[in-house]
Amino acid sequence: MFQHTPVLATETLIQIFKDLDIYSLRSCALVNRYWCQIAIPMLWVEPFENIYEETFPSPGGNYHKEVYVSKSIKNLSSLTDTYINCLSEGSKVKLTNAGIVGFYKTKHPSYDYPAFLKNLDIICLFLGCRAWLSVRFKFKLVTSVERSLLLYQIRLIFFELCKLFMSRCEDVKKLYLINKKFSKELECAEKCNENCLKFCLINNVINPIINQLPDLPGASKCLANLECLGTNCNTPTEFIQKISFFCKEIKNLIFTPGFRLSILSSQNCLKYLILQGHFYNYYPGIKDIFERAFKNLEWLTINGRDALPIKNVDSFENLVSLEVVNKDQSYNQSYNSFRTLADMNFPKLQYLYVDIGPSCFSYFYLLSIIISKTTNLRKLDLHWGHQDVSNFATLTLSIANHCPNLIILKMYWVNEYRESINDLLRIFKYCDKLEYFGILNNGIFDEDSYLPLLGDHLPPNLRVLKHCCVPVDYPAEPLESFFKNASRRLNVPLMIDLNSFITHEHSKIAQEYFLNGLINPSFTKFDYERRLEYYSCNMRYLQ
Amino acid sequence: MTGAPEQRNVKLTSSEGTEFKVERDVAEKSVLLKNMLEDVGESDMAIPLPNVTGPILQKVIEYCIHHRDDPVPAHDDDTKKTDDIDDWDAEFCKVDQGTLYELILASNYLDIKPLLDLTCKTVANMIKGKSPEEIRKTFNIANDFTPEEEEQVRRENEWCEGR
Repeated sequence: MFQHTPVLATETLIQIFKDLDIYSLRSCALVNRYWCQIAIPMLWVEPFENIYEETFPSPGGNYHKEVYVSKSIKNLSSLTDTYINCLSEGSKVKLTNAGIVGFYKTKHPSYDYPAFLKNLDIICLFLGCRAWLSVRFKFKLVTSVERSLLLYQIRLIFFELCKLFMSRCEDVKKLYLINKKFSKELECAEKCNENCLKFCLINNVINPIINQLPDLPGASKCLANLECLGTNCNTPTEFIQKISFFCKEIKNLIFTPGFRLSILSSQNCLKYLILQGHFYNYYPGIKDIFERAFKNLEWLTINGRDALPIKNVDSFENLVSLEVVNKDQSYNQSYNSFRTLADMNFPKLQYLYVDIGPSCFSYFYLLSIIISKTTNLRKLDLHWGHQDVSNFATLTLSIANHCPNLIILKMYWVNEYRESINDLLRIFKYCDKLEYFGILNNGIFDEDSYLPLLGDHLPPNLRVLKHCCVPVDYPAEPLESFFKNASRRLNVPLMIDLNSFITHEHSKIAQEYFLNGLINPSFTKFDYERRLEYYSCNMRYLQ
Repeated sequence: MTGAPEQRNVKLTSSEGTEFKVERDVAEKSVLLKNMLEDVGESDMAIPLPNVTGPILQKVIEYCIHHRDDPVPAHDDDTKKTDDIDDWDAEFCKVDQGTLYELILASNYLDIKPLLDLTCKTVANMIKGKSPEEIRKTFNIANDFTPEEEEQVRRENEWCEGR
């Protein structure tokens, strides 16, 4: 019945499978034995990550977060089920003795699933254990005896699985002790006692076991090649100190300083660093440690307070990307860090992303200094919440003078004084490689004369002009001359936001230019992050 | 292309003995041929390709001619995703499955990475979103699982069952 088709080599199938999503990959695993052998190891490299990334848009297009979180938790439970089945006989006996019965049990799992794992998310694992048990208890927790029994059982399963991973995984590359998506799920539904706090599960159940993780058999081998470690202020110092002895090859670190500096001082290959929390200066050697770590850094994200603890460094030689995030309402938290940064040099900087909340100080002057330190900037993304706009012209001048290679520019447009439109035109003139210009407010519609002027000065390769929608009552005439002028300037079709009423006059004007090929709606999908090979530092793991 | 002013033709012989003449820079899209030509130097001898049939070699040459001026791809192998196959390439891959498989084998043997990537992506696109049974049908694959085995693998992998 089956005609002969050549069998594809293992390496070829691997290459084909690399292009698949996990759902299709799972189908491949069920095709036949040969495909199964190739698909299973790939499917089990980072199952926690795959579940973390799941999104379940509901049919109506509404975004029901809770629905998809609970679906993900259910999947974590199924995942845990398979891992539990991979436990050693000894561990299974322990579970049975603790009253955990009725789990899916075959004599041998089809594969040694834990051995394939390269990406371990401790919070996901914990939630998987809890969900797996909850299914069995059906949430009928009445007496305190049952509650404490449940907590005991969770601890046991979680611990036995940690042991399993440490002994079976050869080579874990990523270890996350933080998890933004499921942070709400971590609240203690067990109500372990009357004073149960938000972090009770982290402090009483998860952290004591995390502290033992580095001492478990196989841990030093399993974690020796760790490349990515995600931690936060809840991560116990003891754990950090222990793994600092054998994890020295970390490239990507998410980290809250405090007393956890040993992990920073023991690294030799650090490239990406996400710093959060307070950078207190209480530790005597802190500056030396930071300065040594910063030397080779390529990507730095700062999401914290107080000044950066550096003194004797004047240059981030290798820094390609700098992100400063601080949306907190009540502090001028980043200002001191910014002052330190403004004194540094960034010869290789290509990406600068700044998002700061309300502040008494204007950041424009300091920003303009940082921008002036390199001519390599390709992406500039600036958000601010302060009211003081007095130095805005300094900032725009700095962009025009120092960013000949800029491809993406996103910022507010402050239309404060008569000539401010000229500053924008100057940016267009000197940043002539600009392909994407995003204005985060509506300033360019303030005066009817602005739009035609802009059309006449657009950078020739501009593909996207983003802004808040064209106001509905904006007159047609300047819009029309904008298009007319732009069509003479541009080498490529332009994507522009119009208001979305199809029958509106604006849309009718635009239609004509759609037909002429000046504007092209399909460019909305143009992915500039990929175009620039821009690696945004794992922002989703920031808390 | 080390500064040679004129292009020498290279002769290739397919498995059935058919001879193909191509310009050197086209042949050098294949890393295998490039290395051979560098080792052997200038020669009028035809290079035998016993693993590639005439019609497939014809297709491969067509691809290499179209892409002769492409820059050598960077080491990054995960930058391109399945959705960015351009029109010419998509048209090129509209062949029957046997030919597609042969193209994969040939590009693997001749070591032409962009063609291997393209053909593998095309196969991946044929798999995407399909059930195991649909995949078996598409690729004429027999199911050699016992029902128990199949059920166990299914259960153990329930966590990634479709949305």
